[in-house]
Amino acid sequence: MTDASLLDIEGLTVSFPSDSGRVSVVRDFALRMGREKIGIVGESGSGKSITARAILGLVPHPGQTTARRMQLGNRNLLALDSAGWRGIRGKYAGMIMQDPKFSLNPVMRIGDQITETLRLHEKLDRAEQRRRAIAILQAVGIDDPERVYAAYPHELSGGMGQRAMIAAMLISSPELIIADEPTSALDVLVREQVLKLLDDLVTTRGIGLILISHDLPMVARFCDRILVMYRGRIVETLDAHHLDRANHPYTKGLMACLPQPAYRGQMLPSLSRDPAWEQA
Amino acid sequence: MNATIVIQGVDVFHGQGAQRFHAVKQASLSIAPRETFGLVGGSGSGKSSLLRVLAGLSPNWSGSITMAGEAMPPGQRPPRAFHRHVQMVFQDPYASLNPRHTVDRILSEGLALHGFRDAEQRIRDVLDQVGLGPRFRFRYPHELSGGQRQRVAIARAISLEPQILLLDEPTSALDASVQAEILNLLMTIRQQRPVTCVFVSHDLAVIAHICDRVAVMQHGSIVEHLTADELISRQVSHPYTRQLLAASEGLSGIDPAA
Ligand SMILES: Nc1ncnc2c1ncn2[C@@H]1O[C@H](COP(=O)(O)OP(=O)(O)O)[C@@H](O)[C@H]1O
Ligand SMILES: Nc1ncnc2c1ncn2[C@@H]1O[C@H](COP(=O)(O)OP(=O)(O)O)[C@@H](O)[C@H]1O
Ligand SMILES: [Mg+2]
Ligand SMILES: [Mg+2]
Repeated sequence: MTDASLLDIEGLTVSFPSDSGRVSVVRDFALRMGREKIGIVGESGSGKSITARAILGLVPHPGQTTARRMQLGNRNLLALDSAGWRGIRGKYAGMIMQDPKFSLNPVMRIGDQITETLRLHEKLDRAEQRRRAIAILQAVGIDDPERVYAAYPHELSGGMGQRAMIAAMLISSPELIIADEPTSALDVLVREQVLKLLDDLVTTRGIGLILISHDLPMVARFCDRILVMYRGRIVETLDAHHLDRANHPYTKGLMACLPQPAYRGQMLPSLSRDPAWEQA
Repeated sequence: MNATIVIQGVDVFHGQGAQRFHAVKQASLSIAPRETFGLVGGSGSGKSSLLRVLAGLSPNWSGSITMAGEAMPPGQRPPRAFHRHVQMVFQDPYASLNPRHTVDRILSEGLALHGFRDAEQRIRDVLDQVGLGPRFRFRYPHELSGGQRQRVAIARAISLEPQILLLDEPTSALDASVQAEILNLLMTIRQQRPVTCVFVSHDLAVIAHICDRVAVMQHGSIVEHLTADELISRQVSHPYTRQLLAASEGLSGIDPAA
């Protein structure tokens, strides 16, 4: 697989009906990526989650997704029906969401949730499924995988739950993982551990990662490239190691308004929005 | 000593009997008039538990607390007048405003409760002061953005001209640009009024920005006291504080090389 051929999206637009006709909440989104780490940042409502859902065919009704091109590897996502999408999700691409409390099924044991994709996509006996699940729980840094395997989500802390989510994602060796604010609900210290873990796993296993967050400095530490979204559009693509080269006034404004020692006790620069940012 | 808040040997509990949980252990600190004091720590470290006690919202504690010269007796709800002088702003502006009340009603209720006669003028003034202005006066919370709701919550708190303002992660649920606006608003309020603040956050950069001094909490105990200068220059001694600093490198504007 050549470097930029894992995911190839062009002209992705998602719209919802409203009183005044259809409103596009994602407009002309484009991304070509290989097995690298891409960050998507932007304020709340800028279209990050809807973009993620569109890439996995999960835009809720009555949303409408259109694109000129959507390829995952050599699979044309635009041609998929719902059975086709089920064949992609879990197996080739998966999503980790913000709060494990909502993304894990509360009445299903962790072990069963982890082996679910295996049962869906591969023919393995119970013992082999269990062996693979325990191994993956160990790989995500869980010390007592047997206990967690048999536990229900409410019996786990936030950090453990998120590790279990990552395990459920990894077990089918996907090519792409989309993590949508995966650590926003976690304690600061746990947040750091979970991000490092995700970073290690995608790097060593050669998985492509799309990390979504409103936290630009955090994303910059973990990703190679960053897409900055504003009101549904990508306004700028950044090299994560050179945030100082940001050009767009929105990106600059986002960085300038973070508290830092130089401004201690002073007014922080506020972001003044320009209507022109909404045009391409 | 001329301190606005004095806390000595305070333990805070949740629940009773065998179910009792010891959330804050032997906390002691003293906060000077017009100071902004930070409480920082990971989730579950007891920050909100301590703040709610200071706000007179949870009576299940022991030890000694003096707020603005008045001793606060443990085990009982403080009198109404206490809340005129001590006001709290919560993390979640969605949950802390009654969704069925207009901004006008949200603001006038507190003023009426505490016997203010010039409510009309105060509501207009306070809406201006928090940067909302008259056109927001008859809106409902769902018609406001997260930042606008937090401004309403702050307006409600400062309309009573409290001596003490307790802020529990007031910017944690907000986008960076909105966080900056709210921090600026708090700075302005501090300059204009003689108010003493306690500011709870898990974000060291925010704490270093707005606070004069800080207590670091872990598992219910205060493990370290620091000035904001010590925090910024990384002159910290407790390993937990070091861990917090390491986790916020790059996450925050605190320069890891400093
Ligand atoms: N089910 C839906 N119906 C209508 N509009 C929606 C729906 N889901 C999201 N939106 C709108 O799409 C925009 C982008 O939302 P989202 O992708 O969730 O933003 P982000 O994740 O960047 O905070 C928002 O304006 C939101 O109100
Ligand atoms: N109402 C409650 N009943 C029982 N336990 C509680 C309650 N509120 C908080 N706790 C517990 O007290 C501890 C401290 O919580 P809290 O003060 O909310 O921490 P922080 O604000 O630092 O995140 C946690 O272990 C929490 O689970
Ligand atoms: Mg989102
Ligand atoms: Mg709290």
